[in-house]
Amino acid sequence: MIITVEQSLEKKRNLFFDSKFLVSLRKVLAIARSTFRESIREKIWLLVFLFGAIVMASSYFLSPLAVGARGKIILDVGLASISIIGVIASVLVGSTLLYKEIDKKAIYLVLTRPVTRFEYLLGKLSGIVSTIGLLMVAMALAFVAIIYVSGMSANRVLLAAIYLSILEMTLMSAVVVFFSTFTTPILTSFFSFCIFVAGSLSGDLRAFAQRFGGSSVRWLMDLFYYTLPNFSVFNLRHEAVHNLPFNMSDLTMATVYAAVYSVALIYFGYVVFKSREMR
Amino acid sequence: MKKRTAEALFVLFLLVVLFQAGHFVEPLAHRKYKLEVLYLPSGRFLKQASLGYRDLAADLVWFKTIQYYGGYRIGENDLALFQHLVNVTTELDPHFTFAYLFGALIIAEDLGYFDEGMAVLKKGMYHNPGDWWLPFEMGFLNYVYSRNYKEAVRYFRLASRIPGSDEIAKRFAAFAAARGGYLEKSIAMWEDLARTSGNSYIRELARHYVDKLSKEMREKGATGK
Repeated sequence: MIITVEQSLEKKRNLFFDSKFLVSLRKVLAIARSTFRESIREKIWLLVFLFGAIVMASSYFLSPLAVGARGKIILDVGLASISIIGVIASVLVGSTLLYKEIDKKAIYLVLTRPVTRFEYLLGKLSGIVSTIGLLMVAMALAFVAIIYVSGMSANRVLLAAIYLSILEMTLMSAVVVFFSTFTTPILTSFFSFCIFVAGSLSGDLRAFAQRFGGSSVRWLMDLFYYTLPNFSVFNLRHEAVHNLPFNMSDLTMATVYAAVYSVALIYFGYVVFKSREMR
Repeated sequence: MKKRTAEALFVLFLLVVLFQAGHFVEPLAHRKYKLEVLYLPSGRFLKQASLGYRDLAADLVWFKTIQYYGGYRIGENDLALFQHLVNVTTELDPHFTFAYLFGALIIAEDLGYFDEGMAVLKKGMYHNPGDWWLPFEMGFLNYVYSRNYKEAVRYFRLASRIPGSDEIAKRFAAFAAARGGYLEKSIAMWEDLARTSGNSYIRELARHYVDKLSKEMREKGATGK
């Protein structure tokens, strides 16, 4: 049988997108696309964007009151706003996403088709990450505009810090999707927030235990430290504001960490979700 | 139409009431603000509580510091908590060099605590060894407040050796050396500046001081003083 170049390419493409070994990327993308289309229509995004833009713009107007720290305040407030809004949006949107689908019974339309629940969850995660990611990029553009209006310029550390905030939001969304597979929206928000706090404090708690705790406390803190998502990995804000040096390899490391952790969380969610009966 | 006008008037009335209510609770809010500064937790605690948004927390404390200083200028407080506010700010953001510079100046000048001011700057130098303004201000404080010209020269020279430093550090070092009576040292520093400065005005000024100090030294040598 003679295979043309086009057929060979098509075969390779299908192998990649419709691989039966892991997941079908085509199905994941289809779910992500529909989630994105559905959530982008919500008017709340415009409000969130306006809120973020107002906070960032207010730093421009209020910064002269900070005597000599004008530039620092504009950069601090801008970067923190992008990160905080990303985290809050992922909790608000992610916590109700699955609940709404089950409540409206829209989930049956998807799950009665040849789509695994893992693909479904991964698609949902990709959808909300792209929606919130788009919002964060829009905020970042507004932030860069404010920086230039203030007579400063955006350095590469600043852009790296924004990129890491998007990764932070991705991981946070995965945490939210994981909890949403087995609990109510309110509890999902609560648990996710607790994980965010614990993941942000784990380094300090570990250092505290190493200094003052016994061996069992140290062991326990080590366990928490390595198991909980380490959100400090995605914090490059301080370096960006003071233009301190950073390694480009740190970005790669953080990207791999966010991807591996998110996929693992989605898998844990899938394990819970697959045994759940839909009525 | 009438109903709409009545509604609009009522909204306006409510806004006036809210404004008056703000006035009514103002003394309470003011008292709370004072307590807020008094019971401001340590920087170490705030570091943990700010969950990775330490720079933002430092900015908020800095706003409070400036307001507190403003309050002192209009006679509302005696700056007793100023040092604590500066410490908390710099604990949260150790690279916030302006907080060290401004804080140390106020502590040394308004509070009259020279050593504490120097300690703030030393902390700043520890965290920001590449910032020449910090040793420069240490030299300045030694020159102006403690009149310790030897130390002033030491810090000005230290500042001038940091890459990216302004020529003003070299000039001040030479000035301080002359003021302290270290004429030879001062002449050497001015000569160095006359050779290396990129600014023709500074070069000329440096040469003028070299001539002036050399003359002074010769006269001292002649009179034997």
